Amino acid sequence: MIRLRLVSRAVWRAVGLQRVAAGLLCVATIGCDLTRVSAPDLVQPPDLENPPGAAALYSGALMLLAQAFNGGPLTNANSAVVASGLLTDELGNASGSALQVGLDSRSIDDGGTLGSTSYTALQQARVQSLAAAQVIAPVAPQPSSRIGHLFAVTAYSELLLGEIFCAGIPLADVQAGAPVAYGSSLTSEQLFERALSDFDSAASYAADSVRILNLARVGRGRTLVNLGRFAEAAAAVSSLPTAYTYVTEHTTAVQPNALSASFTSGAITVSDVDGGNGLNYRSAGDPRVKAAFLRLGNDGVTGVWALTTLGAGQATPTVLASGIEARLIEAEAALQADPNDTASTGSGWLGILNALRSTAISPAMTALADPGSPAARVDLLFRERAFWLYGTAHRQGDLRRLSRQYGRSIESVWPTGAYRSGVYGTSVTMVPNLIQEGANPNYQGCLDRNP
Amino acid sequence: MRHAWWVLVGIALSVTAASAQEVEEVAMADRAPRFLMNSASGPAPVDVNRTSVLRRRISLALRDVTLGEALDAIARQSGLRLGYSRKVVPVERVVRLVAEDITVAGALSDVLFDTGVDVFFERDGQAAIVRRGNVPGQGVPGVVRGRVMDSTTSAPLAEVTVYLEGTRWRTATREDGGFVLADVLPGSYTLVARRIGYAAYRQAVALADSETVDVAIALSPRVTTLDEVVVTATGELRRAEIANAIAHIAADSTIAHAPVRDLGDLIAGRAPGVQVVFPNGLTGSAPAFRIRGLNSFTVANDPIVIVDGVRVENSTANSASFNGVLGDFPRAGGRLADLDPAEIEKIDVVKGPSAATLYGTDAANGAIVITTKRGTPGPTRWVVRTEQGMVKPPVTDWWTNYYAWGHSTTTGAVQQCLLTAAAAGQCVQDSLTTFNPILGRSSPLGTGYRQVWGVQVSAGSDQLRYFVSGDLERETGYVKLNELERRYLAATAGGLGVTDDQASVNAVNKVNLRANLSSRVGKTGDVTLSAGFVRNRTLLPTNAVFGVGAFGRGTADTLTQWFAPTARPGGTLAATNVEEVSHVTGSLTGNWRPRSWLAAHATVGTDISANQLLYLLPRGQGSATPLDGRRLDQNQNVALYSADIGVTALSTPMQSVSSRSSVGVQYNRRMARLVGAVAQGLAPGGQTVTGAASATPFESNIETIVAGSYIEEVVGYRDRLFVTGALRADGGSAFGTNFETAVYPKLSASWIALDPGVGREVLGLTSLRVRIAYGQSGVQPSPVAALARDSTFTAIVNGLATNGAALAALGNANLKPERQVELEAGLDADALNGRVHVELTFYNRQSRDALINQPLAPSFGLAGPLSRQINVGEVRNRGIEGLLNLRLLTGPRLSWELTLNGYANQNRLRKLAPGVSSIGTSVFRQVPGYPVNGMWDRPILGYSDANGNGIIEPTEVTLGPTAVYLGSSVPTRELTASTVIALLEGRLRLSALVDYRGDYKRWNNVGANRCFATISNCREVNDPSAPLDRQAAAVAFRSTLTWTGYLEDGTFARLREVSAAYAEPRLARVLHARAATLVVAARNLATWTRYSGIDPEGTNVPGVEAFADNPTAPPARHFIVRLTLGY
Repeated sequence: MIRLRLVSRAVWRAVGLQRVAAGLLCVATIGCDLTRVSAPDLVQPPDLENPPGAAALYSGALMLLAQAFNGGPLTNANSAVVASGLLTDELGNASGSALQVGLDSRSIDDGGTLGSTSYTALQQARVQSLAAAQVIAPVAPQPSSRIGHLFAVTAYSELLLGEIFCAGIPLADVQAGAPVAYGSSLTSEQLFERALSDFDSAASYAADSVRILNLARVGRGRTLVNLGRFAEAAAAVSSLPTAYTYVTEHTTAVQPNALSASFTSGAITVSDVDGGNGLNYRSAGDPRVKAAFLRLGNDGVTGVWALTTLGAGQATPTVLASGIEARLIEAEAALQADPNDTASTGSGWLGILNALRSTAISPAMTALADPGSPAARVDLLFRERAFWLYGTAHRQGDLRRLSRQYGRSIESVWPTGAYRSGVYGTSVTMVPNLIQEGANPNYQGCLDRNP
Repeated sequence: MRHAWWVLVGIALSVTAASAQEVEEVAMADRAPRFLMNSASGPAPVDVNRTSVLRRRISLALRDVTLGEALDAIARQSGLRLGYSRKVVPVERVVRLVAEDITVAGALSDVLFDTGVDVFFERDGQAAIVRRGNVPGQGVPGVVRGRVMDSTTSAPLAEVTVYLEGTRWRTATREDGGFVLADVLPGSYTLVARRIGYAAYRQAVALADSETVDVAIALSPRVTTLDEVVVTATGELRRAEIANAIAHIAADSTIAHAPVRDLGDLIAGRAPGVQVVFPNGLTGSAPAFRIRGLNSFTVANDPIVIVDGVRVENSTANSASFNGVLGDFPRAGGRLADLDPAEIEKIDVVKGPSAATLYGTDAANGAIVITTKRGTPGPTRWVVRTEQGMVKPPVTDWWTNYYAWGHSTTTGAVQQCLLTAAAAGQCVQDSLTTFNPILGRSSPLGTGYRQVWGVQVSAGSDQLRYFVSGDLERETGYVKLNELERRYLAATAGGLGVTDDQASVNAVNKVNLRANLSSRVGKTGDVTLSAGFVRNRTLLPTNAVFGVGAFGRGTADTLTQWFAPTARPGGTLAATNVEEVSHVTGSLTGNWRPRSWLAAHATVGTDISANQLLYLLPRGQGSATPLDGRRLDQNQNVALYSADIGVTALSTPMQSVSSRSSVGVQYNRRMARLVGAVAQGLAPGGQTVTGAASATPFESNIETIVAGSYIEEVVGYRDRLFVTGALRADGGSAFGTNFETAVYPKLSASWIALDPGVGREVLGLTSLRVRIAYGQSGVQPSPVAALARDSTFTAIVNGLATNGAALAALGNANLKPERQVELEAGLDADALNGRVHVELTFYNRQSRDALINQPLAPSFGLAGPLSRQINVGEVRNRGIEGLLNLRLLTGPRLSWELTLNGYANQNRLRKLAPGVSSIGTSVFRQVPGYPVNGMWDRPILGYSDANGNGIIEPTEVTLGPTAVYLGSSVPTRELTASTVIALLEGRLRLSALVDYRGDYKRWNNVGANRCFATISNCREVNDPSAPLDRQAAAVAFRSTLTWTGYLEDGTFARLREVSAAYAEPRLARVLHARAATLVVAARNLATWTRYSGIDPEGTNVPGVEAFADNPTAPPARHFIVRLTLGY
C-alpha cells in the first residue's frame, strides 16, 4: 500500500499538480484552447496571403470570368454569351427548358427567375477579381500587370452586367474578415462609369504587359461606346493592332465552352432571321458565322445548327476583346463623326470596315458599298459588328444601343411577333433574381428595363 | 408567623417536591426511549415538536397485547415504518395503552418504556428501534439477509439491487431472489430494494451486535415510480428529485417478451414525446429520433446518445451524395444500427433543454442515456438465447399500373388514350389493362430470414462483478432477386456471374461483443470498465426498385412492365452497396466515496467507428446510362472522446433540509475523417477505382469540441420538496471568435404532495408529485460556419491546369450556439393503490438565437453558398405528453395491464432573418407563423364535372392563385397503446403495442409522378371510373405542377408488436436449465391509413427532415420465435 502511495505521488508529480489544476480551471473557465480544432479541409483567407496563394486567387478570378462569360459547369445556358445570344437574334432555343424559352422569347419576368445564374457568375467574377487584387498587391506586386489583369476582369464583369442586365445593379464591397458593404442600385451609366474607372486602374498597372494593356484599352473603348463617348472610345483603342485578341480559356473538363456544349447537347441553335428582325446568320453564307446542321434539338422539333468555327469544341477559346473590335469601335466613331461619309476606303467608317474584310479574314471578303443613307449606314455597321463579333456577348449591347443611341424602336431591331409557342415578349434586358438579390437591403430591383 | 412558617414549609416542600419530580423525571427519561437522529457529530435528539410523524395523533385501544402487536398498531396508524430486532425489543412483553388523540411520540414512549431502547430516525422519516447506547456504525458486525419476490406472482426476483441506504453495503439478488449483506455493523438502517419495473421497497432495519436479520421483501410492479433511479449528468438520482419528465425504458424486461431488433424498436411507443423515425423497411437501416418536435431546419435535430457515460456516434445517415455518378445511391445504415438491445439494461430519455442543461451544448435536442448490463453478485449465470424469424413484405396495396388502350380519332393509330385526351376528342378509349410488376413474375419481394444466437454470462462478488455477452445476428430483408431476375443479371454480367453480394441484395451480418467489469477499490471506491465491439456488414439496396415498378406500364409486356427494360429488379438491384463497420465503444468509470457525504466520479471513454462503404455496379450491368460501371470506395472514421469528472457533496444544513452539491467538468470531442473516390467507366472486368475512365477523389475532415463545466445544487426539504438550480458553461469549437462561453441556467422544483410511503389517500390518490422545470441548452453551429474560407479548384491559365481559389464564405465571427429555452410542468400520480398511474407534462420550448441560413445577395460574389449562418431565428415547440398505466387486473393467476402514452406537439417557426419573409419556393417552406418544413402549394379550391362526361378536365379544376399552408410534414400527435396480460402466475405474458401517428401530410411524390408526362400509368388519368377528386388531383399536377392533391393525410395506426412469452419450467428441466422462456412475436402485422402510397412512414433519404415518398421500402413484417435459457 505504501508503495502504491509512493507511485501515486510520483505519478501525480510527473503529471504535475499545477498542470492538472490549470487544466481543470481551464475547462471550468473556458478561456483556453481546449476547443481549438484543426480544419485541414479549409483554406482560409490568411492561408492565401502569400505568393502561391495570390497566384491561386489570380487564376481563380480568371476562371470565374471565363465561366461567367462563356462556360462552366453551372453556367452553360446562363453564360453571358449563350444567355444574351438567346435573348437576341444570335441563338435560338432548341431545348424544352423554361429558362431558355423565356430568354429566347424575350419573356423575362420582373422577379428575375430566369438568368439569375448569369448574374451571380458575373458578380462572382467581379468580386473575386477585386479581392484577388487586394491580396496580390502586397504579397506579390510584380509583375504588376497581374494586378492590372484583375482590374480588367473586374471592369469587364461590370461592363457585361451593364450591357446584359437592367439598370439598378448593385456592386458590393466584399473583403474577408471585414463587414460586408452592401451595394446600392446603380444606373447603367453609373455602372459603366465604374467599369471605366476600373479599366483605368487596369491600364495603370499593366505597363509591363502589352497584352493586358490592350485588354484594358478595348474594354475602355467598349465602355465609352456604351456611354456614347465615341471619339474617346476610338482614341482609347487606336493603338491596338487588328490582330490582337484576348480570349477566355476553356477545356472540356474544367470550364467547357458553353456555346459549344450547348450546341452539342441540343440546347441551342444558330438563328436565322429570328423573330423577323433577326439577321440571317445561317443563310447569309458569311464566312464569319458558318453553321452546319448538327442534330435535332432536345425539344424534338428544332434543328440544331452549330457553329463550325468551334473546331476545338468545348476547348475552344472565346474572344473577349480583339483588335477587330477596336477597328469596329473606330468605324462607329467615324460614322458618328460623319454620318454622310460614303467613301468605301480610307479611314472613314466604311473604309475601316472594308479594311477589316480584306485583312482580318482569309480569304478576304468582298468590299462593302455605301448603302446610301445614314440609317442604312448604321444598319450596315451594326450588321458588320454582329457578324464580326458573333457569339461574344456583344449583340445585346448593340441592340440596346440601337434604341438608346440611334433612336430605333425596339420592335424594329429585336426579334418580335409570333414565337413558336406564343409571341415574343418585350424584354431587352435580363433581370437579377429579386428574391436572391433582395437579401441586399439596398437593392431596389430594376430601376428600369429600358434599352 | 405560623402562616409564614407554613409558607416556608410549603416552599421547602415545593422545592423538595420539585426536586423529587425532577429526579423522578430524569429517572423516567432514562427509562423512556430517546428519539434520535444521526448527525455529523453523532446521534442527536430529534425535536419531537418539529417532527411531523412524532406529532401525528393516533388513537389506540391496546389491552394486554404484546409489544410487537402494539408497535405494529402504532406503525399502521401513523404510517411510520418501524424496524426492530426481536433480540433488541422484548416483543412478547404484554403492554396496555388506551388513549385517544395521543401523539406517536407519546405512544412509543409508553409502550417502549423500560425496554432499554432508543428510536433512531432516518432522514426519510423511517425509524429503527435499537438497544440504548448502540450507535449505527459501531460494534460487532452482523448479517442482513432475505429474499425478494414479486408481490403479485410471488415469483422470486433476481438482480434486484439491495442496499443499506447511505452505506457501502450493497448487493443484488440471486436467481432465487435471495441476498446476503454481510459484515454489517450494528445500528439502524434503511434497507432499500430496487428493480426496474417495480416500486422501490424501503424498510427500516436494526441490527444488534453479531445479529442476523431476516427480511422478506415483496416488490410491487410499477410502470414508473418516484423511487426509480435515473441516470443524470451528475450521477444517479431518484426520480422524485428530478423535476423533469424523463422517459425510462427497462430494456432488459422489455426485450424479454417483445419483438425488439434494434434501438428504434426498443424506444418506439415507449417514451412519450419521442418520435422514432424508421427510415424504411430494409434490413440494416438505422432509426432516427426526434424529441418534442423539430427545433431547427439548419442544424441537426438528433439527440445525443450516451452509452455508459460516453458519447457515441449518433449519425443516422451517410451524408455523402454521389447522385451525379451513382444514380440512386442507397444511404448507409447509420451508427445507431450498431447498438445491440440485448446488451442494454435501461434507457433514460432526457427530453429537452430543461433536463439536458448539464449535458451541455449539443444536448438541446435531448439525450438518450443508455446503461448496459452489469454483473451481479452471486454464482455464474449463463443466458443463452436464439432467435429465428422470417422477414416478409407488408400486405399492402402495391402500386397497380394502368394503361388505357385506345385509338386516335384522326389517324386511327393504336395509342394510350388518357382521360383528358379522350375528353378532348383526340382519342377513343378501347380497353383498360392493369399490371402490378411488384407482384409479377419479376417481383423483388421475397421472404427474408432472421437468426440471432447470443450468450451472456455474468457473475460476481462484492469485490468484483462482470458481464460478458456475445451476439451473432444474421438477417436478410424481403427485397430479393428471384430466379428469373438472377438469370437476367447473370446474362448481363457476362463472365463475371452473379456475386454473392448481388444475390443477397439486402442483408445484415453483425457480431456484437461486450465485456463489462466492475470492481471495488478499497472500501471507498469502485471502477467499472465497459467495452463493446460491433462488427457489422450490411448490404443495403436502393429503394428505387419500387419506383421503377411504380413507373412501369400497365401491361404485362416484359419490356415495359418496369420503367425501363434495364430497370427490372435484375438491373436496378445489380449494384451492391456494402457497409462494413468496426465499432468500438469503451469507457472507464471510477467512483470514489471518501466520506459518507462526499462522492466523486470520473468517466473517460471513446467511441470509434471505422466505416467502409463500397458500392459497385459492374460494367454492363444495372440501369444507369451508359452501362460503363460505377464504383465508390469510401472510408469514414469517426472518433468521439469523452471525459466527465464530477464531485458531489451531501450535507444537512438543517434537520429537515438536505443538500446535494455537484460540480464537474466535461469534454467531448468528435473527429470525423472521410476519404474515398467515386469512379465511372470501370475498366473491362475491373471492379475497383483503379483503371476507371474517370475517378474523383474526395476527402473531408471535421472536428468539433465542446468543453464545459457545471455546478448544481439540489436542496431537499423533508424529502418531499426538491429544488434544483444549476449552471453550465461551455466553450465550443464551432463558436465564432467573438463569442467565447455559452452559459445555460437551470431551475426546477419537485414536490411530493402526497407521499406514497405514508399510505394515505386523498381524493383517491395514493401519491402525487408536482414538478416544474426551466432550463436552457444549446446546439452547436455547423462545424465551420463561423469561419471565412476559400474554395479551391482547378483553373486553366495559359493553357495549363493550375490551382485556383476564390473566397467562398464570409464566416460569422459572432456565431454562437443555438439556445433552446424550455419550461415544463407536470405531475405524476398514483391512485387506487397503484392500479392507476398517471404522468402528465406540459412543455414550452423555444429556440432563441436559432441558427438560420441568412441568404446573401448574389452581388456579394461569393464562390460558395449564398448564405451564412446567423443567430436570429426562433422556433417554438409546445405540447403535452402523457402516460396512463392501468393495472386492470392483479393477481397471481391473471393480471392485465394497459398503458397509453402519447403526445401532441405544436411546432411554429417564429422568426427568420431580418427582411426574409420565407425560405423555400417548393413544397417545403419555412414561413414564420407556420411549422418548420411546413408543406405549401396552391390549394385545389374546387372541381366539378361541368360537362358531365365523367372526366375532370383542366378547365374543371379551380386552383388558388398562390401557395397556402397545407399541413405539417411530421406527425404532430402520437398515441401508443400497449397491453400486457399475464397468466399462469406470470409464466405466460401476452402483449401488444399499437402506435398511432397523426395530423401530418406526406408527399406522395411517386403517386403524382405516375400521373405525369411519359409515365401516365396511374389510375386517375387512365380509368374513367377513378374518383373525381383523384382525377382533379392528377389534372392539377399535370397542368400546373401543383402537388396539393398528392400532399396526403399521412395519419396511420400500426400494430407494431404482438407477442406471447411463456416461461416453461418443464422445458427448462429437460434442458437442464434453471429457466426457459419461449417468445413468439411479430412486428408490423397491420397498418391502418388513408394514405394512398405504399406506406405512410419512412424516407429514402435518412437524416433529412423534409422528404417526399420517392418511394421507400415499407416496413417489413417480422415473425420471431425466441428461446432464452438461463443456467
